[in-house]
Amino acid sequence: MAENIRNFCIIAHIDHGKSTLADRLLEYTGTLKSFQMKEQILDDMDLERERGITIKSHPIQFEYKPDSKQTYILNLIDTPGHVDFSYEVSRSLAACEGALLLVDATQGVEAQTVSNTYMALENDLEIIPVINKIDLQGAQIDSVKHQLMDLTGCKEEDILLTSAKTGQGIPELLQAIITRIPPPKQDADKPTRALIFDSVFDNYRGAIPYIRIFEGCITPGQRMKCFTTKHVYEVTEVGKFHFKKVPTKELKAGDVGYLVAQIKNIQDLKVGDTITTLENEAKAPLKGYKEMKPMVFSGLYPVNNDDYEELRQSLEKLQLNDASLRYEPETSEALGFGFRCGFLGLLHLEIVQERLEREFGQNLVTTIPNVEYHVRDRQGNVISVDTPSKMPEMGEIDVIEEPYVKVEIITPSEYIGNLMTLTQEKRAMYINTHYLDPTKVQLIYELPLSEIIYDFYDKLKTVSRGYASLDYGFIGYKPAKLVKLDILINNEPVDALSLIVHQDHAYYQARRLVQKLRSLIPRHLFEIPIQAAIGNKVIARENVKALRKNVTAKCYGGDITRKRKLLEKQKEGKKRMKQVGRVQIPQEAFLAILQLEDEK
Amino acid sequence: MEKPGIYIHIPFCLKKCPYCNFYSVIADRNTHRLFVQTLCDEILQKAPSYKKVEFDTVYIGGGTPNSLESDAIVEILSTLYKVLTFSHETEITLELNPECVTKKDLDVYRKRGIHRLSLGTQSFLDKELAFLGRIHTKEKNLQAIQYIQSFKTFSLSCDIIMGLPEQTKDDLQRSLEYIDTIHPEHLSVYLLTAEEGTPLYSWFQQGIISQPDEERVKELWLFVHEFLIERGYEHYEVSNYSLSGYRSRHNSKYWNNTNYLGFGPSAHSKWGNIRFWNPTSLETYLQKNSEPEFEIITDEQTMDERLMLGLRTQEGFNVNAISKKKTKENFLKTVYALNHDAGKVLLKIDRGFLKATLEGWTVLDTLVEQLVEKLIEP
Repeated sequence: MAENIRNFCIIAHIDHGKSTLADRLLEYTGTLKSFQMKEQILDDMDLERERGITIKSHPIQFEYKPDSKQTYILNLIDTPGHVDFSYEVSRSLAACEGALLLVDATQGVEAQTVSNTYMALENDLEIIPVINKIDLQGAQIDSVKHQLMDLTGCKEEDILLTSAKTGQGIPELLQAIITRIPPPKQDADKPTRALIFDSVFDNYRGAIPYIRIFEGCITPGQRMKCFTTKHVYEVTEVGKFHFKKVPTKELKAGDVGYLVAQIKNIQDLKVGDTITTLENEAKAPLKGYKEMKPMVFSGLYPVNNDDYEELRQSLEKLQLNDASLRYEPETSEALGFGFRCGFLGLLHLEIVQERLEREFGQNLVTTIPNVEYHVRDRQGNVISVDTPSKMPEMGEIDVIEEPYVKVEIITPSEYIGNLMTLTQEKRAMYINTHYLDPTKVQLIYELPLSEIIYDFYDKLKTVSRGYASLDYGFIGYKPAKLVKLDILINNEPVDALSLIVHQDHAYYQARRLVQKLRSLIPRHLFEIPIQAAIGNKVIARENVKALRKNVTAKCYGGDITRKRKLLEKQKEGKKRMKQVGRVQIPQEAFLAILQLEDEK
Repeated sequence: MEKPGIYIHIPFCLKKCPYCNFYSVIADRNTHRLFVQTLCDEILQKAPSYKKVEFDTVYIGGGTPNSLESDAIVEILSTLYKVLTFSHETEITLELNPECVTKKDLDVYRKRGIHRLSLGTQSFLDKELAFLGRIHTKEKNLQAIQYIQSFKTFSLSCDIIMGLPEQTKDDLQRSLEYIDTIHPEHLSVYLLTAEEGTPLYSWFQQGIISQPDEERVKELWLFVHEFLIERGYEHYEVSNYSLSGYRSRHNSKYWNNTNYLGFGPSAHSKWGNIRFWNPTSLETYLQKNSEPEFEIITDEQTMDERLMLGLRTQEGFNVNAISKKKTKENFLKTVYALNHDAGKVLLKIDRGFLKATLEGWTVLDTLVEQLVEKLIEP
């Protein structure tokens, strides 16, 4: 009975209490007893718990009985909480009829509150504004109410007050979910169309799509087809999300669930794509599908060249779970055989890198991340450059274009000055200022993506004492005066250290980079020049001085074990060094650019 | 196979020096007595396992062994001789600090057969001795040496610490000229090292004292070498010089993988492929109920140690100890690559032995670090 179904999600800025609120709803409805609950039950990847963010979507179905006569089926779709995954968020929203817009009473509206609200409005969702953490001392309920009314156009009485921690306001919230969010449309008789909003990989059952059925129904035995790939698979199981996946006889319009069809390749299940069945085939897909494109690229290399094959297998396995990861083989003169990988953003890169190291035991060199440039040469050919080593000679280039993003920053007004200085350094174009209330401002800029991926977020937090929040989205390519900066170590160019920088920043960046590298490269038995060059012109130079004296003075009975252990530790440490020519370079040197601190 | 040696650790000093990381404490007479008792008990308890072995060195170090009564030293040696077997050519060394050397004690040592004395002179400049936190002076050094040399039966070794932060070549030369006059049979010349956990280490870390300039220290080190070679000393280990026939037989055991037994708190023993050591705590040691810690040295670790220690000596490291032909080839390739990279001869092969040159010794830790990973198959 679609009439009793409510499909909804919770949207919020990071740390506003989304996962805790979800836990509380489950607890209040008796879905699980409180002693069964691990904190933040929905974040089940180790990394998610550690970082306190959601990376995958976690749907869950639970029942709510407001009285003895009625039972409602609530499908809650927990959404990823980071800007890198905003397309996935938009597809999770598309699977719902309503959204709880959660705002921390002490923080107020933040950048992702705004972007998520717009996304929910684009998907025509019923928005229930909720002010959370009202039990906290610094709660500013009135001013947050005004911010919410300004943002969503709602009335004051539409806003609910909760404390996910104490449970205050939870019954009212459940009541609002069933009265204000509309039930899904009852279109079970139409040709079948289901939206894929996420997918997981199961070693035994293959790739499993998480779906929302909009029209028609799906039963085991039917043959399913995705619109983009056209591959056909036989459905062996359909089911719903309780705590585990629970098989059912069918999924029909309005339902949220999963299906199993022995799909070998998760790449066949693109988030946002539409599934139909050959038995009741729809002519056109649902609206809103976009191919997800990587925005940030980086080279991943095994520290030890012999581990290349193992790294390839690890990436292959990881990709089974992470459909947005792209990789292709790449060769670097300095680092040997590795992979150029594409990521949705810097967080995605970090997650992949950490998972490769932790779950797959890989020992990696990661090169400086970069964006994808569009380069038009003098003959008028346009090429995509996703690694500095593919950049043509400067003389052959007509125009280089780089990706731009629209950035929304929300900040207490006292930090506007600091933020303007920061954004200027980052080549930002000012677009607009909007006061959310007298003390809180939304600043809108257009920035090159490349300026964001290094250290923008950390700096933004620093200059605003942690108060400013950030959201951004890709808007297109724009021409820029960029140059390729090459790094030479011991007079040999190290391709993996090249980077593309804006002409006006080149000298400054070059100087800081060679200084940083000097501090990271250990002293050798010979002097090592480190140079930064544009073309043939060296613009910065530092030397790692030769080691003059390094000898243990005393070595008697009591010293031997200790010295040998030190030696063993050094041996281990050298496994994390990359031999480039005669020089041993530590892994972290390849990311030196990310560690540059301003000496201003 | 060489005969094993005995090391006795006396964990007492009159004062702790800020650079020293050997285990010692300041204690009263009663504690001294209790310690000697416990030490003798340890010897008696362990000796039966080594009854059939003949030892040929005893080294009583510390700490400051002569902060104990000379009777106590005699008692320790007598206990050793009672339960263990010694060759009639046994080298018996006693470490002394100059502040408490007396003729009376020296006579007792002589009578008990101690014939080698290692004196912690450290420097012959009072300002340097003060910097090092020593309680003795240049005068005390000279007096102790005069006492020792008046006996004619002792062979003398002097310790010198060099590479102090502000040390000039003149400073060092003044100490060396005293050495020239004294002409001890043996010299240990140590570069001042900031060992982790010492006050000196934290002074350097906190910038209270600035680190000596590496380049200058290296020059001074080479200068000491020149000075002593000209005066007939052989530089037989990185930090040790001797006149012909006067090398420290005991210390050489550490460098050429010979067995040794250690008694006393923090003392290390090596017997075959086992190394074991007593707790670094007098209190625990006196309670007698703690088992020594130990490690089994694997073949790979034995090779690491042979390389690390062998290169410290004039004899070097026996390359033929690397059994696999391919590994040996690869090892030798690295040797030549290191010379090539440095642009000078740091290492040379001499009749199957790899030796560090004088230049090589100055960067020995780096060389060992580079070579050690080549001891195993690539």
